Amino acid sequence: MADIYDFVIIGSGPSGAVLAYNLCKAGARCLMLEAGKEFTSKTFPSNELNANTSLMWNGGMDTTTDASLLFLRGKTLGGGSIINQCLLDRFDDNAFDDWRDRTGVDFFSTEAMTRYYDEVESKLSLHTMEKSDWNRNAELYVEGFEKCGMGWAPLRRGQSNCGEGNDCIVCLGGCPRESKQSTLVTYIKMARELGLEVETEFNVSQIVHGSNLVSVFGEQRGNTRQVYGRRCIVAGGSLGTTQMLLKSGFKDKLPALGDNFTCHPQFMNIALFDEIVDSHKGAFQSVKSQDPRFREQGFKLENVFAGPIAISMLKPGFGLDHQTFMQKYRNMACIEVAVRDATTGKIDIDKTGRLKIKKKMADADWQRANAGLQVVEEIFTTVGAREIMKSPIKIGLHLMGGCTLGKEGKSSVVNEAFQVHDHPNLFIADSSIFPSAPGINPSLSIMALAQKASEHILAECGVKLEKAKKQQQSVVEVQV
Amino acid sequence: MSNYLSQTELRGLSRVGDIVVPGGYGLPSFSQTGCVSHIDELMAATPPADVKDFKLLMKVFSISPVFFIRGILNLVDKDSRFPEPVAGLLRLLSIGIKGVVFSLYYSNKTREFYQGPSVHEAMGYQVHCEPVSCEKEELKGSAGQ
Repeated sequence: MADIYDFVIIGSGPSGAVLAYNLCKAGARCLMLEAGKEFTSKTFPSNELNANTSLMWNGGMDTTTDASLLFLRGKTLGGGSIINQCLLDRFDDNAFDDWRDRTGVDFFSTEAMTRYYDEVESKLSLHTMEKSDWNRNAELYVEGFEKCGMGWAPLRRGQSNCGEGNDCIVCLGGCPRESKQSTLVTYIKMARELGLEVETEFNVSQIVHGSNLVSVFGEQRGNTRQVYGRRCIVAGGSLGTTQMLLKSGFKDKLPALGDNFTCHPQFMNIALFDEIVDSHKGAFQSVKSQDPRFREQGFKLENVFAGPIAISMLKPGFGLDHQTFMQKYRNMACIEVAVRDATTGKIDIDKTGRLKIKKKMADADWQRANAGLQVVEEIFTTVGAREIMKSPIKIGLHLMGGCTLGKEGKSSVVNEAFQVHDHPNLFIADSSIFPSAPGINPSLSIMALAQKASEHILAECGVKLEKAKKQQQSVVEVQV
Repeated sequence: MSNYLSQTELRGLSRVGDIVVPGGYGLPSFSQTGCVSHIDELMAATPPADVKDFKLLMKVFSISPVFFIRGILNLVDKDSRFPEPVAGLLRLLSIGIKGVVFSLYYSNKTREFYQGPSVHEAMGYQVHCEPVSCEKEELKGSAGQ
């Protein structure tokens, strides 16, 4: 008789990890599947090339079919939380009101989501960056904002102990100090203490939904594998979750599967200064734009930087001209325009199951991007930049949609209880359910939605999360 | 040397690499560093269909005159002047060629026994993040002094 878990959870990022913890805490027997490898603070790759190839899908070179957008997405235990900057902001009324208008779902409101945010935040170490954290890039950013009369605010980051004199750009390849609050050192760690089983390097090829059982087929280190759960949670992110469902043939019953793909296209702008800036040193990201005019216009400005490989990719051209530019690495400051995109794309697969992502930037998106780019130029000019390089490369971060949440089966994939329409044993609560681009870093909100989904899923099993917490014993009983 | 690229394809990569990164102003050239010997680390993470296309391209570059390779490199940055799907193809070529060359070169990896200037040193790129365990050991050490 095959081993049957209460829940098979596919994916280990912000959604899968929060769900795994809550379900394990309620006494469920859970198996987490992750396509990537497991690293620890001691084994994370220290080289940018190895970080790209070991921690990201396709070495960090995922693109749309026309290569107009590059995507970075995590492929390691902890998912995107290993390679992101762990910037943890709540969504505002603007984002939730838009979602409620689009879906008619009432819990999309700051008020209704407050207790889920509170619950998640209580499990994380959060730090609001202080002036003493700023590096020169941040100083120039703030100086420029203040001279131009624009609003800025300190960033809030998930970190516990970054110490003194460390360069946090390193943790884009995994934090060697276990300070960054990735799911690996927070929710997965807690869930493992409660009995979570984890299988890494498990590439899911098919999910078969049955009335009492969900079968998950895949390949692990050259061997075919099958695992079974009474229920299955797909938490592979926008592209991963949608791809798995498409490969499994769900499109026939879910016509909206793959629709409504959005992201936050990012335009990195490099300014060269006569002085040494060393944007890669210290806490390399500590302030953000907070100007209602920017929010209204659909963009925000990020105080950010990147390693040599990423910076080299931003600059067009080649030869000595390009090398001369790279030699000024220490003189570079950077501000990134992050666009809240207005145009949706489509996620599909080819005959081999490979992703085919169609996503254009339409006129409305370009207007937002250009409005941001103009502001960046003004800021850099104000603080004395000698030269400004606006990169033509667009990086799509915060991938969302493909399995949108909604009330109607025709226009959505997941219902208000985070259940896939007409598939009662299949649940999704990752960024693929987002109805639109919020224009805010989504990590914390994915976790808050997963927290809410945990309640719904346990209620399906006849368990209340609060009750389960109090009892601290095995309470999930599902009959096959 | 490589499980993915043949000798001919590696020669093609070194040729295009030296055009993209010729060296100068204190920086070594692409082939001087020997970073090409780390190509398998990149190819292992690349989808097989893309590896196949890349191999073909490198084969072509191995026998192409320099002006032809330069022409391709000039063209890939001018995607906005072309209609789709030509523009998309140029962008893919740009990522495929320059993405590989820059990833290898700016990774600071070299062949064994390389004694020239390090790319990161020449750029002044140096980062450091002390694991907490090391800090604890240091504290222990200083407490005992």
